[in-house]
Amino acid sequence: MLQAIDLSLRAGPKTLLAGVTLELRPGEVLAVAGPNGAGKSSLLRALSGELAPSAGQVLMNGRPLADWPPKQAARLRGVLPQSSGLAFRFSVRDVVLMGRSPQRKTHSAAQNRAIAEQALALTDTGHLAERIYTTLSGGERQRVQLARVLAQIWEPQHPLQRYLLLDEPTSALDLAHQHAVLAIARRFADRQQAGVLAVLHDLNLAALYADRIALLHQGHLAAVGTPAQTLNSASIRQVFDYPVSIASHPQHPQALLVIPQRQAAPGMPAQ
Amino acid sequence: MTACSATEAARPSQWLKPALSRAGLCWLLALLLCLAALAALGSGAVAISAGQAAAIVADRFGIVLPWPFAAEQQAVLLAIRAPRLVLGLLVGAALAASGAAMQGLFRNPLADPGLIGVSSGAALAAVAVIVLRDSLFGALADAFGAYLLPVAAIAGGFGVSWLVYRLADSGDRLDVASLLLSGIAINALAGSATGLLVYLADDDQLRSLTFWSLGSLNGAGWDGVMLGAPFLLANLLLLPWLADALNALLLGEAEAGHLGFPVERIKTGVVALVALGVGAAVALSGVIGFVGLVVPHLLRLALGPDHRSLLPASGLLGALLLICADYLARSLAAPAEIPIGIVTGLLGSPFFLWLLFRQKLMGR
Repeated sequence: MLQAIDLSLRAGPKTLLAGVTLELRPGEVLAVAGPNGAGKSSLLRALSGELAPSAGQVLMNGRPLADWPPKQAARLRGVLPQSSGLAFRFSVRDVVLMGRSPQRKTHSAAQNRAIAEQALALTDTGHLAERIYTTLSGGERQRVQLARVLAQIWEPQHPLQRYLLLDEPTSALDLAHQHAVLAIARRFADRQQAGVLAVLHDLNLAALYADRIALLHQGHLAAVGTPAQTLNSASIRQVFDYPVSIASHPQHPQALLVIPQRQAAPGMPAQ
Repeated sequence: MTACSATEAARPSQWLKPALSRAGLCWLLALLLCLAALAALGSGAVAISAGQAAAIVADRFGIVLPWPFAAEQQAVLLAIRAPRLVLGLLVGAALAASGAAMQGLFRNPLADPGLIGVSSGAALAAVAVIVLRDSLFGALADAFGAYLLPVAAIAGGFGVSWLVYRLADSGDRLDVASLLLSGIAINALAGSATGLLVYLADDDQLRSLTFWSLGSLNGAGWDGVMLGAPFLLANLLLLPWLADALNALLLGEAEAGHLGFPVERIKTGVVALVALGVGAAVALSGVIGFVGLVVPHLLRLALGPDHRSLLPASGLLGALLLICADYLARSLAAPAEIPIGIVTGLLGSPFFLWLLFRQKLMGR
């Protein structure tokens, strides 16, 4: 399990997270949602060890994050950034191979390359392998980065569980690829018993693919539970300050649909 | 993978393609370097053929080659040309490899090893010693003798880059953007102080200052080479060891950390190694521009940005370039010598402009 226990994070006078207790379980997809500035990315960065908590702690497989040797932690936990500033002309294959850096000493170059190829195929980027990364579109880059992160934690590490942390993995993607990416995340959780946490803005995507949803509001955990427990018009109104209706999905009755109401443009003088 | 060689060829970034693999290019550079080294040993007022040069070097190791040579040739080669060649090799390689590492650290292909203040710091210290030797450094000059200038320059380079580093270090993390800005500010400050000292200098001092601020391998003896070699070799041998980490840093600092690299230690290590290598290089041969900028830039076009091949190849091409530039510096106005920085600048800037326009024409 990847656990945040009473986790607080401050940057100067600003409180980013306040007393968040949350666990990411093996085999589940956990969606983290909330308005802008609610602390979603901060939570992800604290769970990945990038930011040290001001109070509380993060445990990975029962052991504090800081106690894991970095290379070993890297084999257990992959992090997909919101966007990557890679400006040098690496080939797509080389970018994915960078994901194998933690295994460069333990695996042969051929093994690492074979895994990179599989990760490319899985993320529907095999045809881009020879392209230069900087010439790709934003959506293609995001899928290549996903391939890199999947390659990083590709192999089971029995008995230790693996975790995949995705920061807005669908933000630059078209409709089909949004679903493709979350289907990959879903399958990674189901087949590999990895814990997948995804920061998502689209509550409907969260409802379709996640086992549980955590709603963050001003650094606090406002609600966490199954989509049925968390997605109701009252909680969404409280967290997002916006009126919605809830319906059930016509094809997937167990999934909910969040339907926002239309808003009139404020403050526009009539002609 | 069977697709590997085809992949290399398909890269649009490569124009030394497709017959030349990465390893092939490195071997080619090494071969050219050997030829240039033999030519450099042979050229000058006392003519020494390549065969004789090889025979003299082999003789030192007890091997007899079938090229007879005179004692005078042996003396010139061993006491004057060989240390000059070794210094050129080490300085050229360290400048270019440091440039490649700096460009990786700053994630900017226009970064230069001087950005962290090491060149301007070493220059300031050296100029201060030359101009103020009699008035301020009398006692030190007696104590250090001929070593005063290089030792002061190394100390000045380290001191100023340490200051730049401290300004950018917020205690738990080194901010690369602050490093760049504090480097620019401190470089300007050191430049002004150097300018003031140059203004105060008399005619004799000015002459040695010119050679110093534009660089020269002249006056390199084994003493100087031995003084700088540990620093230069540390730079050359340890930087390639950080190649994987520099690659990962190009993804971003957080991403490199998630891949298990100790990011803060690596950034500090790169800055320290560059300060060592460039500090020693500037101390022994003055400020030689453009090698650290152009060489890695050019090789990145040919090999791609992977530091595992970029760092060694930069070292080889930097050494080759400096040997050739030194040959030109010695021979263009013989028996006088042109400062080598003028040669590298004359060769480097048009070439760099060509690179820029080429990128523009190809629409990147």
